[in-house]
Amino acid sequence: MYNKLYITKSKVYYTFMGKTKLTLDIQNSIGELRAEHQLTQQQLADEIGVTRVTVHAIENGNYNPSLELAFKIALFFKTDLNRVFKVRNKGKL
Amino acid sequence: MSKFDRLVTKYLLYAIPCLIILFVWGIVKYPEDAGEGLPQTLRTLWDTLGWIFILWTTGSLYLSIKMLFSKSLRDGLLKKLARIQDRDEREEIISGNAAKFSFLSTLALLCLFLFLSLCTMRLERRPANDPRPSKNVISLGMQFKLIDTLSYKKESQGREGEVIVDYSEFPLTKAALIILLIAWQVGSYHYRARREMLG
Repeated sequence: MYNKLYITKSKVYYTFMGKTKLTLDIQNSIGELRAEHQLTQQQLADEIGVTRVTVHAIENGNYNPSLELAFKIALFFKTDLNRVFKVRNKGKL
Repeated sequence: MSKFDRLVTKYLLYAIPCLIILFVWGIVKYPEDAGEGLPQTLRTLWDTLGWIFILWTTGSLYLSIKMLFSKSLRDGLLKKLARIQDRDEREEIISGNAAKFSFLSTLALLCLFLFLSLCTMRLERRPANDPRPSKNVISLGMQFKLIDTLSYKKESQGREGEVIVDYSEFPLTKAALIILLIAWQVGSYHYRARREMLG
């Protein structure tokens, strides 16, 4: 179960003057990192101070964490933020 | 939430069985002559329950007023009662969105109630021999009263003498109460939002 590569997708819409301008696809590799460190969702949640449901939501791309929480996750895994979160469709704002 | 507030909250909760006993006793057989006709044990029990009720009422009033102004008390008490969860940032966002929905829908409902409380409508059918051409008349109007004069009871004589204060219900009219609620909701929202923005 832990050897599976978890890449999830989350969409962020930037709205300007009532019109959607850009869609960002944010992917995260928290599941992969968790598997590397042999951690359960509950253990990771306890370490970064959130609930297990929140970790599950982030992993599945249902929730985009705040910058603070994103850095907390990266610091916990002792890695770069870009390793944890990746942006796909970069475009003009 | 301070220790005193926690103590009052626990008292209000644990005293409920005593109040139920008091109310049932009062409904089944109200001891009009509590001071004379009852046996000593029952009289003491009735008096004790009465004092518990007095303390319970005072505690309820204290907590109700303090809850309006104390954030910690509101968070400690009402969040539990309303089962609001905000253990992390995701739950805070969910609670915030739900609170916004609840705030705006309640505001819409209050506006409807205010409209219904302020408006008056009268539909009349004129007599057949009325010379005016229109037979059915509809009258629309608006009225506003701040104080509900009917809620005042002007009895000056009680069972055992002159009545000094007789409070039976909130004296504001429905419309005034709704306006007060709308003003409180919008005012408290802007007060909090301003404080959050200033950091």
